[in-house]
Formats: sequence, structure tokens, C-alpha cells
Amino acid sequence: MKVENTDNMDFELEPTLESVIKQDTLKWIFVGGKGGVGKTTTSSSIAVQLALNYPNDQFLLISTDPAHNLSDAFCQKFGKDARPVEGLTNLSCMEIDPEAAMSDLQQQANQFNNDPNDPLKSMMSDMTGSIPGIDEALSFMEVLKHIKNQKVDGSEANANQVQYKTIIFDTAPTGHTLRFLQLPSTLGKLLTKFQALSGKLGPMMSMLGGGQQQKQDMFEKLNEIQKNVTEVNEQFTNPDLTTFVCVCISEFLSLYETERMIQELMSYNMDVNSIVVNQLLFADNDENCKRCTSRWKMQKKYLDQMGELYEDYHLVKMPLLGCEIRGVENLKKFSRYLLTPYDPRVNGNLVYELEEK
Amino acid sequence: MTPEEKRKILQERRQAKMAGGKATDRLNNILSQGSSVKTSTTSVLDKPSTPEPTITPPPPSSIPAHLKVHEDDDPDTSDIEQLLSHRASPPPAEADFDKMFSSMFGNGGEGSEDPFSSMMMNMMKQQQQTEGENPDNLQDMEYEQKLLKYNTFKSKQSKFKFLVVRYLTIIMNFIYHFVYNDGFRSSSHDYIRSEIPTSNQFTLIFLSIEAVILSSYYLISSKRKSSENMTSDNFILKMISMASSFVPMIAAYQPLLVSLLGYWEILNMFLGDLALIVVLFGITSYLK
Repeated sequence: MKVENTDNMDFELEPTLESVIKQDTLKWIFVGGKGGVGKTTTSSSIAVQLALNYPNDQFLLISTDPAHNLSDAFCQKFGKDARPVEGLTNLSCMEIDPEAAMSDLQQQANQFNNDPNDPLKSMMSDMTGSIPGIDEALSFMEVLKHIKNQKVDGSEANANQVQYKTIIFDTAPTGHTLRFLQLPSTLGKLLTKFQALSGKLGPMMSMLGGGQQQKQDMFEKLNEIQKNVTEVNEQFTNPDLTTFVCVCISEFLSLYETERMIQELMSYNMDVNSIVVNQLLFADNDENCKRCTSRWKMQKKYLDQMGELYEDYHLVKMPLLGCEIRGVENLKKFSRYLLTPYDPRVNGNLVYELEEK
Repeated sequence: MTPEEKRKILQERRQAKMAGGKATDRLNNILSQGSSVKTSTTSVLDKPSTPEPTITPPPPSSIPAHLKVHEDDDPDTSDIEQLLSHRASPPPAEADFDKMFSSMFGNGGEGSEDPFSSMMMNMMKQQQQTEGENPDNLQDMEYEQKLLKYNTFKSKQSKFKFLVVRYLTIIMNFIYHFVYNDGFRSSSHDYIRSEIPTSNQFTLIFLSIEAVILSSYYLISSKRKSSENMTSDNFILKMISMASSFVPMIAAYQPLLVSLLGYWEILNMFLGDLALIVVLFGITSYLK
């Protein structure tokens, strides 16, 4: 795909994610799109390729979708703590569990108040359960944690704390993800609101048994969170540090949703330069299957439209395979075509090559 | 050209293609080619709240570490919206947080069973009042209080007027029958009472007058209460209001109770008028 710039220089936009994989400065990669288009497969594939290309660095794949699929994608159980992938030890996966994170929050709250009869405790659990987008908020807290870890230099770093070169997010379907990305701004204002209330909350906390020191600690913690939130804002809007990979399929609804999502991300000043189109049939020479031929014709119509709309994006075309893409070995095979364009005439064997799980 | 320069040029190109209303055109183009039932839509990048129509990406090096002053007096933070030259989607309004707090604390203090939640909500309301307090709000509150007092005074005044009318009509009715009807007497002697010819005319007139006056009073007072939204200073209603803040179900019975109290007031008036007749008979028993 060639484009001309204003200086009359031509440069090619390769239809691969090579620029994302090779970009050394990236810290955060978001992978998102409409439900069922292959976000988990794509995010897992990106994570696998990063791990293969940088064997000496650590990578982390976090699922922020409440309906986690990472365990199924890798055929390995993951939890709220990062666990290395079997067969690819420099890649770890994490599935954020809102309930477990909530109990962690309550344990932290116990530092400030040990009274078992404290009404504030029950209020906390009600409060946190009622906050809209609590799943996104908890994912965001993980982000804050990792930002904090990354600021720690070598001398202070705990041997048990892993510093990841890049963190990949397998996000929830579009609406949830956009809400997640709004969080830095929302959280900043919320913290400001809490600070405004501090004069009223302070006496109340003293009344409930929290001492002056505990109150001070709490507000210091809030201030620290606010600083981290500000930093997250800066990092997420820096294209050298953060990018968003849109995943879609070649259908009307998905195309429309992708365009809307790109525009919304642009309004957040988040970089989007790559789009992965999944589940393509490449049935030009498949005369035996009328359904495939008909469907491929429909897909081509939208592919052509995407070609026009997204001429300044890396448009990666991935095939629909004969079986599910599960397990590290299958992901390795599939993810190669994120870096090398898939050619059905040369690579058509891939469709039936994967091991069944 | 370095990869970074190439990325930057592409980014600028992408953003230029979204600027100046082109984002909306792109969406509408997709919709039209997809034969969508939607005829048109507006892009989030082109919505009217956007102060500037063009999108200019901030150079990465100029991401502000310094602070800017906000119109809304928020502490200065470098957030995503600040880094944009315009804001495509408005940030969550302050009011959204109040809604959020309302849902957290169980629909507010008035309906909440948890006194702690009620207290928190009252604090939030006080906070709102503190934040939004200005001389106009205080004047409104004073006006409301004075209006309530005035309406209460008017209510009592009309009640008094009706009382005067009732008593005058009853007394006139009584005097008329006392003067022109020899049998219209009271006596403690059963023999005398049996000699007196019965007359239902007084009773008929009395009941008619009572029906007219009392029903008029009830209608007028009901309309006044509903139109002026007066709160009752009835003790029972006050207790019900207080109880409903803890047990919301009780509030459902409040309108029924208001009606019953209205009828009770009318009944009291009628009984008072009957008592007046008894008193008049008692007084006149000394005259003859």
C-alpha cells in the first residue's frame, strides 16, 4: 500500500504488525474491538511474537475482559497474579478477578481501621460494588501498580518484582474499553472531589475511630494515586509508549464499530495505527464451497472499503482457520502472519495445519 | 526517513483525514454503503461541544509537565483532555459523581434505611449546598418559609370565617324556631317532652346548612392544600414523614391518611356545631 506525502516521498505501509513488534519504545499495547472478532487470539499472538522477538525481556498479557479467555487461549490456567506461559517463559498472563481484587482492597482498608463492627467497612464493599465500571477500575489499578514498578530503578527493585518491557491488554468489547480509557480523566476528577470533601470526611473518620495519623495516611495514599493517574494520562497519550491495535472482521457492523472506535480513541489522543482484519476466507479459488465463495465476495467488498478508509494504517489480513487457535504452538504458527503477510496460495496449508486441542 | 518520522507523518495524515467534519462523513459513508437503517450520524470528533473543529496532536515532547489553570477550579492535572487542543467528548460532569454517590449510598438519605448512608448523603447535599450557596438561594429559602407561614395564616382565616358563618346560621335557625315554635323547648322532664309536638323542621334546616357549609369548606381547603403544596403541621403526619425516612413503605399510606384527617376535621366541626345546639338549649332552658 503506497501513500504519497506532501513532500512527494513514497513509502510503503506494510500490511503487518511489524512496526508494533519492532517499536522498541512501546510500553502499553491495547488490543480491542467488537465482541467475537478475535481480540484474544490477536492479543495473544502479539504477546507471543513479542516474547519470541525479545527473548531476554519480560512481557505481560493482561485480560481486562470480565469474561476472560486467556486461559482458554493458552490452554493453561491463569489467575489474578501473573504466571509464566508454559513453553514461553518470558511471557506471563494475568486475568484480573474483580472479587479477589475487591478483597485485596478491603484488606488494605483494614490497615486504616481494624474494627470489625465498623460501618465504614460494609459501606466500602457496597461502594466499590456500586461503582460503574468496577472491572475497568480494577484493571486500571493494575496499570497503576505496574507504572509504580516501572519507576523503581534497579537498585531499589525487589527481586520478586518483575519489570515488564511491554504490557499487552486483551480488552473487553468496545464500550467497556472506552470507559476504561476514560478512567484517568474520570479518576482525576473523582480524586479532586474526595479532596474537596476531606474537610468533612476528616472529622467523620475521627468519629469512627480513625486517628489523625490514619487519616493523614489515607489522604497521602489518595495523593499518590492521583500522581500515578496523571502519569498514566501522559503515558497513554504518548504514541511512543502506547498504541491501540483494532481488531475487526470484514463485515458491515464490525467496520462501522471499528471506525467509531478509532474516532473515539483519536478524541482521547490515543495512537491507533494498525488494524487486524480476522476471519478472512480467501476463497478466490474455492469453487467447491458456494457458501465460502459467497461470503468471501461479501468480505472483499468491505475489505476494499477498508483499503480506502485505512490507507494510512497497517491493515493486516488474517485467515479464518479450520480449527480454533489454542495453545502456544498454534499461536506461534498463527502469529507469524502478523509479521509476514498471509498469502493463501503459499500459506494455505495453515488452514488445516493446526493441532486440534 | 526514520521509523519515528514516518510514524509521525502518518499520524498527522490520519488526524487530518478526521478533521473538519470528515470524521462524520466517513461514518455516514460507511452507513450508506452498508445500507444501514440509520441515515446519518455525527462523529464524536465533530460534536458541537468540541471547541475547535480541527484536531492537532500534541507533539510528544510538549506533553505538559507544567500546570494550567482550569475555569472550574479543579486542581491542575495533566489529563487527556488537557493535552488535546479541543475536547471531543465532554468529561463526566460533576453532577455524575453526585449521581454515583447517590447510587452508592442507597438512593439518598431520605429513603435509606441505613442511618450512616443517610448521614453521608446529607453531607453530600451540604457539600453541594456549600459549593452552590449564594445569596439568591438563601433568599429563596426565606421566601419559601414566609410563604408557608402566609398560607397557614390564610387557611386559619378561612376556617374562622366558616366557623362564624356556621355559628351565625345555627344561632339564627335556633332563634327562629325558639321564637315561632312553641314546641321548640328543652326540658329535663320526660312528661313535658312527651307533650311537646315534634318538629323536624329545625333538624332538616340544620343538617342542610351543615352539609352545604362543611362540604364547601372541605372542597376549598383541599384545593388550597394541593395548589399551594402546603405541608401540614399535624402531629400524626409529621410522625409519618419521619417514619417514612426509615421505613419507606409507610409513605405509601400518607395520601390515605391525609384524606382521613380531612374527614376527621369535618366530623369535628359537625360535632362542635351539635355541641353549640346543646349549649343553646341549655341556655334557653332558663328563659322559660
